[in-house]
Amino acid sequence: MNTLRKIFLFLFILIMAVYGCETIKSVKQIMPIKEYEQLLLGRLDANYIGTNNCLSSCHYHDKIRRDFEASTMGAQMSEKTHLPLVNCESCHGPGSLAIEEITPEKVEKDAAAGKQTACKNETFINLKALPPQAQSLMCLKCHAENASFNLHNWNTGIHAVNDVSCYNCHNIHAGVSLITKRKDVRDMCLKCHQTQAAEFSLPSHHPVMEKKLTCTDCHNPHGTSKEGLLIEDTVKETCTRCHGEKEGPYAFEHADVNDECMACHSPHGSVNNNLLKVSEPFLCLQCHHGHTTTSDAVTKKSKGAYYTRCTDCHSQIHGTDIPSASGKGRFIN
Amino acid sequence: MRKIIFILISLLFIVNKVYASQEEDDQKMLEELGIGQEAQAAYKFPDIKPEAELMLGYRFVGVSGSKKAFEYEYLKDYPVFDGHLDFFKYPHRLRLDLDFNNNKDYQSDVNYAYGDLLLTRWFDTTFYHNLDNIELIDLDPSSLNYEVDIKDSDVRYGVITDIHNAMLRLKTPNFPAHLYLKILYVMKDGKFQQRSLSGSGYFDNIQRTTQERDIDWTTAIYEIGANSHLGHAEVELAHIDKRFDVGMDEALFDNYTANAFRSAGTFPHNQVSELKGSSNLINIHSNYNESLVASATFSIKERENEASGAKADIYQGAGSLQWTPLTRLSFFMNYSHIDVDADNPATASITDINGSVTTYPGSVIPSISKTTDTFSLTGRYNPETGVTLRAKYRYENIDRDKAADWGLQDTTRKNTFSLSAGLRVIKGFDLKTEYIHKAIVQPSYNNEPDYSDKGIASISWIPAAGINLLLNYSIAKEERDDLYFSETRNAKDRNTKTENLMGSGTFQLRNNLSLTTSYAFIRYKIRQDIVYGDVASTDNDVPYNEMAHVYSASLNYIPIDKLNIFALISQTKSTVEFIPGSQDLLNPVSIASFSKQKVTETTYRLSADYECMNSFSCSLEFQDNNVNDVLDNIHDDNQDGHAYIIMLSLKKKWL
Repeated sequence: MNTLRKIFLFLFILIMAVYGCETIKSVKQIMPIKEYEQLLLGRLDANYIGTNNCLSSCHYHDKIRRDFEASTMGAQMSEKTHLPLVNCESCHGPGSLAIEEITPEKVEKDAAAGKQTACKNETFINLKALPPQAQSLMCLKCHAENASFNLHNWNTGIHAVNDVSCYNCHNIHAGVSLITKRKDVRDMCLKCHQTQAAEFSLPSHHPVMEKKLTCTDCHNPHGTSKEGLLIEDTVKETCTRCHGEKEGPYAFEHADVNDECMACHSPHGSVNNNLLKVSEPFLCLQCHHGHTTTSDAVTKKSKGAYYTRCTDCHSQIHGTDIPSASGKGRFIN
Repeated sequence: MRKIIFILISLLFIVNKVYASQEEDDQKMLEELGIGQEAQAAYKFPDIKPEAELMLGYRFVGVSGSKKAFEYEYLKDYPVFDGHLDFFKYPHRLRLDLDFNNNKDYQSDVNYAYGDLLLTRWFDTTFYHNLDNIELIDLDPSSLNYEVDIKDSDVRYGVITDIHNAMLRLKTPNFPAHLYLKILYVMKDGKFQQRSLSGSGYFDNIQRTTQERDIDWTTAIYEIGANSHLGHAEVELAHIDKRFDVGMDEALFDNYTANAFRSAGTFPHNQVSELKGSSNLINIHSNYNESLVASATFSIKERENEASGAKADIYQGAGSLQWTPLTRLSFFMNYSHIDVDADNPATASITDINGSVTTYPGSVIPSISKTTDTFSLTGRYNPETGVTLRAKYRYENIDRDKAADWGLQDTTRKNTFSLSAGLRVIKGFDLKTEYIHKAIVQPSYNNEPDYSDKGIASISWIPAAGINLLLNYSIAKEERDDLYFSETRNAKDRNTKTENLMGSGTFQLRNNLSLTTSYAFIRYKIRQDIVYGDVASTDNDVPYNEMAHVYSASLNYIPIDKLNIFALISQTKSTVEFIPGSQDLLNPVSIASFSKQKVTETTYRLSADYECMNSFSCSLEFQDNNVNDVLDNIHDDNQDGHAYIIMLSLKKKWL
């Protein structure tokens, strides 16, 4: 790390901090372009009436209201926190038209008849029919400021680019906690990623189908700067979160193959032991010439030594710090 | 750099405190004007009764043959319990999940929040991995060289993996600035098979050995950071420390006979080195709700091997930009730069158990330092509702230092083009296609192609209510025409073909009965020239084939409201074959027999859950797994195994 780079980084952060402080109180645009504003604002001829007016005579949504108010958003959105208030109309649009024909008398009469008084739901924003980008923007208008910073690369992440919206994975009215339970993550991901589900059924696999590990142990579905939505900056850094013994650096490296675990391994599953993409010895013979085949009087014994599993002898194939018997880095030691 | 990060974190909080104070003044002004009080009065944390669930039961297991039948289950009879608790009483919010299968297999997930000021999460995953004891085959016990030394006959291996993941986040009152601490602890404890080469450790006396190895490894990652928003930008700063500790098991020691390079002695082998590292990270992104959205990441990482002193310094800069000029048109740009500066010791030596050092003449091949730049640009266009077109170009350039010492290319350039289309033909019928072409200039490794082409097509169809069908097919081909081997240069061609077919269907047969079926076909074929040390000619177009069929069918039936029955059967059939052409390699025993395999794995599962009375329910779960090595080839490493798990449990809910 040279001094120039440190100075560059420091200056960049300083400039961003000064710029940020200067603009912190300025009014922000709500949506990137006008059409999204129109989609997400709802009926312009309707007025906001507040959650109490929405739900005072409708107990159909009581549990949803309770769960929401007890959730992180509900608990954080009290007036004293100075954060933007979130209520039913923040997402569903202004509600005056939906209840304009509902009177206390009608509600009372319906209740006496044992039925629920219906709102004009068609006057709300049809959230399910919005384009995926607009669906996500509905959430991002608040979650652009995100405590966990996990949306840092959302916009250019593969999910966003491929029209996956927040709604595909998060059900905001599922209950009090909005964090997806660890034990539910796998099924949520495999609903779409069914090829990976088949790979996890191959003889060698990470224990995802067994629910010991889950997709988010390696992937960040909210977007990363790398392809594959890996949780770390590189494949190697992701794998060595658990397989630290293979990270290195070592005195004897396997060239730079060790940086790219997927040159030899299929992380979701494989028909070969140890998640190998190709079985040994062919795996190694793709790049390395084989040992002698005929010099030992064509005994099958030399073949038994040289052509079973290469890693029986080259057992430190990810790298080593002590030399082989000949003093070279053959990963035999 | 750590000092700079510390100063910046402090600055972030000082700045936020100033603005938080200003906001408080503004709020006082609003309150004086009577604005906002109505909403404040309206908020009241709802009264929610705690909800809890407790399950107690017992698990019976039976196993014969290889424990690979349940590779990730600790196969021992054990009492089990599960628990779940939701407790919400403002300002406390607590969620607790616990699954305990046995002392080597349990999971917990605890979330606790205090208002909006503190948020914690801790989850633990502990599981047992049954590992193989692979038998080394001695094809001719009468021969002296190429001996086999089996020191661990009949030892059963397994390792417990214990993953602790904890997070604590503190928020400043009344302002979204956060300070957080994350800890990841991965511990591996148990025994695994260590195969190695003993004898002299050289060609003059080859002896393959297998023995038991105890491990107690820990990987620990600590991250402390802060983030907040600064107007149009959000900033996060973090410092990460990483350690890998091996406990007492750094290396094995064994006796070696003399060879041309060193005298006989007791030398270490299969050393696992302790590692340490640190990272400093800065993330910045602009507000997401603008037509131009940008994010940037800078990180500086250091890694050091404590045994040999090998080092790597890694600098990374990454940026992304989204531009949405029109609702129907967006562009996404990603750029990353990774600079790895690796430094390994110049010479090699080994110290025997008595402290005697053997230093080898000649230098160690220097590690490769490299710079990788990656740029990608994606355009997305929606000409009509239900139609999405995407085009992507990706360029990657790798510049290696000291590549010639390894027989690698100094520079490798990868160009990837892809086109994809998504079409909603009618409501409930979606079609997606994608074509990807990749061209690599000066590929470094033989398993990298010069060119590759991949096509993907998928159909999702809901023909009627209660029927959901999915079909996905992909095919990829790779070609390479200038293979490189370190000693023989006449090998040229390699081509591969990968096919995946996946189909699934869900059928709601009746209101209380649903059926889900799926089938997957995976095929990977390689034809490649390979070379051997003592065979003058190249073995041309050697085929290597892998194939797997995965079948699954499950039934969910609710005959009465209180009874839920689930049944599943699945089977995976896999084959691998490698067929060299040279007659030398086929007699008297074919080297293909060492890798040829045909394995069938079958799973049966049945569970029934019955709600008895007063929130009590009882359940029965049965699972039977069978691994069958169809070929029973003594030269491969597959073993037959059969195991079952039966679990009886009683559950009580408190709502």
